[in-house]
Amino acid sequence: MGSTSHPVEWLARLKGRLVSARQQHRIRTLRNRGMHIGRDVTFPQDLFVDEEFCALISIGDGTAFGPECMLLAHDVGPGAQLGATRIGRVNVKPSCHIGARTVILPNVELGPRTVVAANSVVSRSLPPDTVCMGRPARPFSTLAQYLETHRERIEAATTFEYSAYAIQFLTPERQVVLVSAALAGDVYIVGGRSAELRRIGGSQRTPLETYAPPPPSPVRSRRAHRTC
Amino acid sequence: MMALDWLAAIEDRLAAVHARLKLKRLQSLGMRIGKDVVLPPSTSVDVEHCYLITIGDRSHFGPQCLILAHDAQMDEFLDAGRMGRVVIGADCRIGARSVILCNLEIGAGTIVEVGSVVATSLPAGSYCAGSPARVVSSAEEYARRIAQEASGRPRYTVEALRESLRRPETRKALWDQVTTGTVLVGRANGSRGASVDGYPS
Repeated sequence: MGSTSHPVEWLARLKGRLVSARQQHRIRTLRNRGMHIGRDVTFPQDLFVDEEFCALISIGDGTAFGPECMLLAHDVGPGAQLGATRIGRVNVKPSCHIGARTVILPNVELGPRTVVAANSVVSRSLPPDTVCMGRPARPFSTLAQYLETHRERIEAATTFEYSAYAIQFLTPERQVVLVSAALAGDVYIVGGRSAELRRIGGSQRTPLETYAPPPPSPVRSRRAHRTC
Repeated sequence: MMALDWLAAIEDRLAAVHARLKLKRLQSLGMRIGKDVVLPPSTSVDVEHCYLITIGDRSHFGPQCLILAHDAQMDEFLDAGRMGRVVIGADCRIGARSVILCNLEIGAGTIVEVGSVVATSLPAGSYCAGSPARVVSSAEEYARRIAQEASGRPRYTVEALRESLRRPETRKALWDQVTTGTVLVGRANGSRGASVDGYPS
């Protein structure tokens, strides 16, 4: 989709290329500095990572971050009184889904398959298979309940195929259909995940690296020092 | 000093052009933005699904709001992601750093407090706050409370405020007034800030 004629469109596409190249470089640098970023992680460009202590952060496979999240591994709160900074480990285990604008503080472990709602502050560890929200984030329901409600809603909702209605396949006519359905009720796009696993499309959740990344080495190599 | 001022002016001009182009691009992608909307350049909009977003006339946004039109948190488990409309009515006031999630409508004339998460539809003419945002009172009641706090207190126009900030002795007087209670600043002429041309509907 999209017309090549409009200069704004053209510039936007060029900017997108540059942003993704810069993002690849950023992830490489963070890995060299000792941060563990698993495979198939959605790592948005505007994800704020504590660059100085990023070696304390680990992100498991398949974890997705929403826009404008923040990962902190240090806390200068008591700095003036103690003359010291508290640092802590941030361990995000596989298949967590972190909502937009969430702040994750140090000394925290997010169990596998935890869903965190938008604009939460995770200041203590969260158990696996739960849905959490709030500031500080607390378990709100179990993942099974959450998925059950959405399954029921998908039954009742209008569903569209990802292969036809994802942004890169969307024609103006389909857009009108989609908008009118969204104004009438729930809309779900089905098949996005499986399309991504088959490497179709290229949405935000596409794996950042198509090759298998090397396992994180506990000892930093000399080469890693040089690159950062 | 002169060169710095000059550079700053160029930077401001570039930022203004950038903001205008960004809004134009969003509109060309199908987002509806009404007349006299104040949408600061720091607002983050879900660009991929922005055709689902409608913003009514004369709505004002604080800095760094986030408007989302999709929710893919269940995508990995259910192989389905949710999309939904975001319809913001006319004359809304959305506070700074608010997050607006998908599949909801914000009624006309609603005030959303700073830093809230709007996760459900909000009725028209209400004052809402919290995460998730809930109705606290009606907008009229909120306005009445502020007016009560400010009754008998000085009220400035933007020009008068600027004038009194300029000289040290008037600045001192303003400082004393502000530290002892509520001071309102009225607008001389309607809306202020970056406005957008009307969207042809």
